[in-house]
Amino acid sequence: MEIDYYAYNSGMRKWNSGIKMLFSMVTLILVIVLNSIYVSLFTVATMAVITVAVGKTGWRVYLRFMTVPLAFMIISGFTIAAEFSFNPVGEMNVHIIFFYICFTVKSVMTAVNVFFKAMAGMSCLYMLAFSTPVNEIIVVMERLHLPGILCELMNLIYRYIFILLDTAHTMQTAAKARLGYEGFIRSCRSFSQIAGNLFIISLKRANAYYDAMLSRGYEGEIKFLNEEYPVKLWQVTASAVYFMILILIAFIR
Amino acid sequence: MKKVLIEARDIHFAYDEKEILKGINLAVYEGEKIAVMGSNGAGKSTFFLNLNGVLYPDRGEILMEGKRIGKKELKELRKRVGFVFQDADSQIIASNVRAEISFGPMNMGLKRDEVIKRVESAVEYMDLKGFEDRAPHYLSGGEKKRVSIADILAMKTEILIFDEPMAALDPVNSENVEKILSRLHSDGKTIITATHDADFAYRFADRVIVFCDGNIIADGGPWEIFKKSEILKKANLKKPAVMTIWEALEKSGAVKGNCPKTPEEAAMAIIARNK
Amino acid sequence: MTKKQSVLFKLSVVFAMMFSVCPTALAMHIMEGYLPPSYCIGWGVVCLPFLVKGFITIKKIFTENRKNITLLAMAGAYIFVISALKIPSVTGSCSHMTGTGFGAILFGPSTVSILGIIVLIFQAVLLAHGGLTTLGANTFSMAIAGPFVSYGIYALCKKINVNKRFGVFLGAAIGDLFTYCVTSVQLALAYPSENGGVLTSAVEFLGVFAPTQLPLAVVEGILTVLIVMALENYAKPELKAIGFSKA
Repeated sequence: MEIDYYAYNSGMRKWNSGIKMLFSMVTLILVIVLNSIYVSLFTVATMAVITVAVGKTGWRVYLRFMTVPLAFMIISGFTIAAEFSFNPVGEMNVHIIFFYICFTVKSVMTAVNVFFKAMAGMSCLYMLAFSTPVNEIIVVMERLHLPGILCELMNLIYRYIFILLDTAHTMQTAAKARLGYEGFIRSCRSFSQIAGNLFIISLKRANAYYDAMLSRGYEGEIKFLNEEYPVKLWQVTASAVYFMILILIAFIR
Repeated sequence: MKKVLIEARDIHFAYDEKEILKGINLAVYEGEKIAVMGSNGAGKSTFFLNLNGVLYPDRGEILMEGKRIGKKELKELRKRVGFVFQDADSQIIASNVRAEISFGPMNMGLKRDEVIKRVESAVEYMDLKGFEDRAPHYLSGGEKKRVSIADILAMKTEILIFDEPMAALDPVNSENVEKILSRLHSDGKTIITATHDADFAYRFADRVIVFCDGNIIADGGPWEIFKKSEILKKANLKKPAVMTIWEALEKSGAVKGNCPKTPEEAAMAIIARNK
Repeated sequence: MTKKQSVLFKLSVVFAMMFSVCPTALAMHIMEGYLPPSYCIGWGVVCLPFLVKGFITIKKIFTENRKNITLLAMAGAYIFVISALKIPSVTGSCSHMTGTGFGAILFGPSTVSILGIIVLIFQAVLLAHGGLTTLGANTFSMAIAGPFVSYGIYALCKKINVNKRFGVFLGAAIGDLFTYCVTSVQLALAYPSENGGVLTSAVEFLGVFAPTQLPLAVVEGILTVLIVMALENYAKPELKAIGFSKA
């Protein structure tokens, strides 16, 4: 859960979470709507600068996270670019035993375009994720009139994830210490025992949490005090200018 | 004569037909410092949840300042009796310290300004300045404990119940919690705390209650309770170290009178006597 | 080396790379920015009726007993954590369960659709798996299609009196496979093959993801059975309380 940790220590932590969300989401939408490789490249570059220079996320960390979806990107990028056929239908064909892997300029271009669009999309997502803790994102969603039940569920799930992860790691370490992860079969058994245990623990925890909520006067609605950081004029202006630049890039090309 | 704040009369409570509380009678007076002792499973936590209005007794009644609390008035009880859970992680529900502390006051339906004021003063009281925007999952055990106490302070309840407040804390943090309890008491709160630590109970409390198997088997001043070895034996309690030594000295005629609260005081008394 | 050979060599390097990259199994989350806008919206719309049904179910669960809020939240967190834990693998690459099949069998598919979309949002923001514009597509494949199939198969097996554990295995494994098929079709629809159209493209996507997804589906099935067995061994009352294993 590294991203969460960096979000709490981001240089952009004290920015209004609504403006951060608006900025990253509108850019994301522009990237996929404008569908231009130049817009994508510009976004990848600028979002990286924002997250690393302003947000103070280490560039090594940032680079590492950009490679998270690499497997998906390579596999599906390859599939978009290539076509398997019994005849050499592409502009470049690789003959393998009885079939061909064919590439056309168009299909390769599509793959390259999609690759950069996805990278741009990731960098928008990271701009938000590396600067805004999840509970603040939920506050914005509440503002946007997402049903209360869903917000409450999200708030609680976010909190419980850390509780359960902690418990799971402790159990895994204990299992490893007793050689529970030697070999595939034993690993499977240990894993499922831990998962089963975790399930029971989570049920018990759920009861304890409910008691604790009742004891503090819970009556069916979870309400918190949230302090919001003010939106600054320059942030709004800068966002607007940024969006304009993106649109301009798409149309000039 | 002091005022009775809360009173339990013949409380019975069962979980799945297993009787946990078998007729508890207890009157808590304003401004008391009560230590509740007894082994795990003796019914302390269940009793606290009854006092706090989370559980409703199967039989018997709870009275708040002489007024009987029915099922409809449980909310009243929750507003006036605060309960700090043993495990801070099972109590903290928000992912931000400020939001967390505000949960109780928000439930009480207070105005935003008042909620802010209360959160700020609880933060101040528990020395949590600068932690307001932090997430509980990145706090240490001691910090989480302080947050869980601030949670309840913000509700401004007259009675504060602590379930083993020092459990799983290191010595420094335990000492801090003890100081906080003492300060709360001198600020006029009525304190009830469960503990397994006889030394702490002896020096802190002015009244000790011993639970055993769903019953209260002893209720009185700490000196009086810890003197009775049959009670200690029955409830599996240890005698405070300072008392063990004091009693030995008393037998040999080296000291006289009631045992002091702490080893330091005892040492002073011995020195003074031998001068 | 002839030109062909050199291309082949390069291709094999690419393949070797993609199987050595760690989060292979999460490859089924369609990543951020990968789908054109119409598909982002389209899949979202397809999800809507299911989500509305799920929302109504959850609301009903709450009105029945308010206490269920912490229970449901725990269930959501549990699905997230289970899918975040590394599972044992034969090849050494690390992979993960989806956990939604297990959730569907325990809590029912409607509930899991809502929990699933929340888990997917958290996976996007906390782990960078999947994305927000692709949330609709991912929700449909992972939080709706998979769980509904898992639950359907599990319920069917129960009805025709197949061994319960086998039913759990089939439900979880086939649900997982179905998720992978739906994702492949989703990708194919967005990026059809130039000469063969959507169908060819779908077959291609199915083919390239098969080496990781087929074994994973089997592992998911096995683990789900093992977890259910572990639970049945020492959590009978708890399971009964949430409505599982009435038999």
